[in-house]
Amino acid sequence: MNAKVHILLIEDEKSSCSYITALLGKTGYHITTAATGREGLSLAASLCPDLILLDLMLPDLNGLAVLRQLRSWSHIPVVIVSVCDEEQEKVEALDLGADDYVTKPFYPNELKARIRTALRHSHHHTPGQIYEALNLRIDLDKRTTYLNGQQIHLTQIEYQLLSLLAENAGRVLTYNTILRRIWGPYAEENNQILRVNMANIRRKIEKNPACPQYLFTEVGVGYRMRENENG
Amino acid sequence: MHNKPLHSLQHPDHSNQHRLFAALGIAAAAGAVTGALASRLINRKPSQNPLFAALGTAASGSAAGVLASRLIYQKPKKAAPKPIEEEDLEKIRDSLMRIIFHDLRTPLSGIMGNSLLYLEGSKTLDDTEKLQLVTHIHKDSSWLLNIVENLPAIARIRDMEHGFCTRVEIVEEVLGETVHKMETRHPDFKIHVAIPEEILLLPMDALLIEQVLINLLENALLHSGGCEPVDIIVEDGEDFATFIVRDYGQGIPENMLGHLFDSSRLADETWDSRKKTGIGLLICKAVISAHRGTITARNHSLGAEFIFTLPKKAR
Repeated sequence: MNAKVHILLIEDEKSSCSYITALLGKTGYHITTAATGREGLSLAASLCPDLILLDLMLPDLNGLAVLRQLRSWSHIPVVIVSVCDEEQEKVEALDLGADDYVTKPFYPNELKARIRTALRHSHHHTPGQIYEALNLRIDLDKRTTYLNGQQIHLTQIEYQLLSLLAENAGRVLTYNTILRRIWGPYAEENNQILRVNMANIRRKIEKNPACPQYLFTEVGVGYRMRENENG
Repeated sequence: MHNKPLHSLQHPDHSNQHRLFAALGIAAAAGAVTGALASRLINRKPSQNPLFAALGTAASGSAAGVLASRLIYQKPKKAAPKPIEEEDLEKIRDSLMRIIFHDLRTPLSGIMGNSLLYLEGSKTLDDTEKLQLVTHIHKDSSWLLNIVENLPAIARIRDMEHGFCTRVEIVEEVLGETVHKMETRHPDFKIHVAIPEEILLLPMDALLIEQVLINLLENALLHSGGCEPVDIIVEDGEDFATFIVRDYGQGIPENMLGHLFDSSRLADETWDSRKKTGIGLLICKAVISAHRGTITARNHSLGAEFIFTLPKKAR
């Protein structure tokens, strides 16, 4: 298995293209670029890349339209790379099926981490049965949580929330996604109950809830759990 | 297309005069297209107002930004102790626009100059010199990013006045994201955060409050040299919650203390350190005022602290 991971970059800005290509080329990825949405869609179909980096401002199609079309036939992981920092746009892209989101300008490590996480979650591979990071360990089979080796007690909802985030460690989950997964399809739009539960979990696992090490907030978007070191 | 805020702001099709002024300020900053755009704007609205015509002339001049702000704004009123009214917010916002677009030029010209030097001297420069040029480019672009990140805040302040955008937020989430962003940008920068034990909920526009905290923290980093950690302390009160950003640096010179949040000081060319402290604090003031809170600055025995309050009940 020495085939390089193949990434399709759909982006029309030349300087962004050359920066991302150089950055990821050095990391060992093989990159193909498309300068328009249509070209991107056709290359996605013909090349079947392992991952797509998608800019939202394209000369022909809106990036969200590209994403919508892509998602009608493909599960290829998509990471959005956009200059827009509006939370509604992030939420829209994520709820349309994007795997993650990076705002330009970004730090090299940020993009690499998002790509790594999206690839890891894509390969039909069942999430590791153990989540482990720093001093936190969650056994997803036995449904137990340990902090510094001490078992901690979570309510049922708290455990469901924490394990959902742990299974998706490293990637952002929107409020909507979490509400639907935990409270079911008819969950209320209001995310207050979710957020209060998160605040309670933080009080149980974080040393300082205002400087979290495990559960990161993306205000207006959702939550992201620290990457799993065990897998 | 809501790409590139600059472009949309530059669009000459603004209806009211305030926005026109703002657009002119931008035209001045944009440099190359200044003359053309300014005259187009003026032709469109023939000088109903002598001030406006004067501004047109100013816009084609070189010191446009500074001159423009002097022309439009007369002597500042004393800052009122009560939360400022909408009219004042409008004023603050307009002067912010002008200042920002004027200030964009400084890091931008650094980037252009240094990169040109690099390109022209690619054969004659030695490695150390090249490294130095690229380091300057990198620093200037970070500075530019700081300015640009304040731009969406101005639009959001407008929405706030109409009562949009405030949601009940969990304070620790807003602090957590802010601290995370700062630590990503400045890996060596240490921030201590102390919050009340109880979950504290406040109505706010979280992104605006984050921007306030980021501006105060960037400021603290700049003036304390980043050696000592900076404290963020949140205290719950009956009607208001209080946020304190405390640094352990050189403190604020006495003569500046009274004018930190005063937009008139930006027209004052003798305000020499304004380069990097200008807009950040004015944005803070505008944001906190739009939330009906207060913001003040003072020195303590080991440095400076900024204190702002937010009401616990939405309007």
